[in-house]
Amino acid sequence: MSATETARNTVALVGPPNSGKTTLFNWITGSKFRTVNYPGSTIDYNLGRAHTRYGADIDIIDTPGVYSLFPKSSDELVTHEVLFEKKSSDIHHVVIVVDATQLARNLYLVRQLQEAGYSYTIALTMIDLLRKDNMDVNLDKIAKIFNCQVVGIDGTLGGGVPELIESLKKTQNKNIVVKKLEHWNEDKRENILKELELLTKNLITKQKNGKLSIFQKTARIDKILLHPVAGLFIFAAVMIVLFSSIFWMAAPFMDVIDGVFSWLAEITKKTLGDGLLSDFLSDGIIASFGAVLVFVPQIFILFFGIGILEDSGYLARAATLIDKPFSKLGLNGRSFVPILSGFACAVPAMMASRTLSNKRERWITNFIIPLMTCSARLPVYALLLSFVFLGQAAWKPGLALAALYFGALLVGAIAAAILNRMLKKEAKSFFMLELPLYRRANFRVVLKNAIVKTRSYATRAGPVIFTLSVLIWTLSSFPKADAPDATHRLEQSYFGQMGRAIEPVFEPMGVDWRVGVGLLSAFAAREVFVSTLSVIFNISESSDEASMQNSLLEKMHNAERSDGQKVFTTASVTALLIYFMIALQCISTSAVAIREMRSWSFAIIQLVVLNVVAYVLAVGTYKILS
Amino acid sequence: MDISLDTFYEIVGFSGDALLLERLSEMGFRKEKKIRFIQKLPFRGPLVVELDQTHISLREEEAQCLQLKQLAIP
Repeated sequence: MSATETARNTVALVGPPNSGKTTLFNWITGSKFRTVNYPGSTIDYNLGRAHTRYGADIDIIDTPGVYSLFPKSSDELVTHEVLFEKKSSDIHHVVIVVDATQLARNLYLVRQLQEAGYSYTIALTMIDLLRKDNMDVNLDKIAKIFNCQVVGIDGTLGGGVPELIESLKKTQNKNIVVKKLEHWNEDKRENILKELELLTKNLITKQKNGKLSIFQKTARIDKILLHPVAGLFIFAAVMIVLFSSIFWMAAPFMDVIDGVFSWLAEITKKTLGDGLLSDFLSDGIIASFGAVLVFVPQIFILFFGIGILEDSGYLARAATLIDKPFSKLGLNGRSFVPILSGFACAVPAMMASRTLSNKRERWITNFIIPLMTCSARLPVYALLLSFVFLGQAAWKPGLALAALYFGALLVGAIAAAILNRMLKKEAKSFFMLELPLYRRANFRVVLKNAIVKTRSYATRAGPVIFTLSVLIWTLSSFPKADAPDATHRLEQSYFGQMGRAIEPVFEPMGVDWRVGVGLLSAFAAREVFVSTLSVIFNISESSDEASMQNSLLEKMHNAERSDGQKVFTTASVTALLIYFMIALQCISTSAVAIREMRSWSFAIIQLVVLNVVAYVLAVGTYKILS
Repeated sequence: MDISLDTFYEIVGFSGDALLLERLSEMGFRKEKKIRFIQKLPFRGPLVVELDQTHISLREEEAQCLQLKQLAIP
């Protein structure tokens, strides 16, 4: 944060998981916020500003949900650090988000923030759920008991937000002295819980049976969705729908993006004519941006789908269903969301593993995340599978693709099981997961979060991919050789020379230096493999996409090694598929692994192990099949 | 763990790992609280507990930290 920003009034939103904190944050900021990194540490959080319509100059920090000020996982630590490690003058006031349907349980955190010395306002959410059942809550009484402002919030309509901002205006610029809490022993915890329950007993006017209709509905749905048999079938069905939608829903958008970039490249070439600048812009800059952005629809759809499942309350149930099998592999039900996100992109997936309290489980989870079939692998699979199954029925490559997905899951499970045996068990692991009430997902919030995550993927991974793509273009374009065709020019370029030097490494996989170069370039981003092959095999420039792909496939069929044997055979292509399935070829993933695990050794071990295993299995596959 | 579904139990005490006990309190489990197990997942998977008006999944080991007394069926 810059100096000017720290001088502003900053308010932190703090509350238990599922208390409606993020929804409130979206209402206050008008869904305009960014993720900021606190200088000198690895913590980051969402920072927004109160929407101009409220006429208040207030910065709002959204913090990960916590039950208490005694952190037990990395995300809880973020909240703790925001509250206690930042200069206390940074935060003037805390808004404690309390779920009105869970008063006694949620007010526990209020007691802790009170003891820490924070001045606070209570934002009582889920009021709409109470009112729907003709119940109400006595805000004045709560205000009296806790000696603070209390504002009721309607999460679906945003009611109460202007009142909350008004109350925050009055609390500006207070100098507060806060202190970290001393440990609360069992007696103290019990007494406070009991006291809170007595205090809140008559605060809600109740229905006859005192139960919320939404809770009764949740109880009925959980009987089915958490059913030992039916629950598992429904879980499988939900996952199948989610994953198939990544393909059929994203396809038209991907075609559009691909088309736009092909058109841009063509226009550039036509306008600038032949020449270095034209090559650099079209083959270097535009092609690499296209390579990054073409996967945005898939990543967005997966994040959006996960967001809908999360916001409606289903993901917590999925985590419950999968906890037992996962625990056998040294994982946790809470590993489910990070691993699921790994199918979009490993970078946000590793960040999502912060909810795991146990270091060992987080280690194993993050280790296997890159094995999940991220969207960058898809274009590689698409090319290699269409080579193997050229001219055959469409279900065959489809089946092979499914096999690659399940194969990756299987390898991930084996890797987790091995790590589970190897790593020492140190701290206690726990699952304990609150299952939120089933509600219709808040479309606006889910959409906004999916956009933020997708944009964060593009801005985080984008520059790395872009820089390396430009570098590869430069290395493969220079020195400018006087050769008759592009293949020979490439052969004499710096990149070609490097490829020749490393050829012995790739020979046992049945491929030559050209594929080796492709594999090396894939470390910038896996999908770069496809574009590198296109350059290497000098496919004819054509605006017709189908003929471009056919031309590449034909060249691949005809490509021969120096010993006269074919480069691409069923054996060598299968070996390549196995390699791509397992290898960690993504610099952004390693960068985020270092950041999230606060460990270089983790990232290096992961990089080496996954690549060596991938290589050995690929070589083995080639030897067996040839 | 030998518990019956859809039967009310009262929490009469706690025993087990300190970290688990602390988190159980923070989630609202306290002595004298009435709870009910609504689902047991297969192969000794998590148990789903009703506490006040919410459901919480607990691993068997976590649920075993709760010392329970079965209440008469209402």
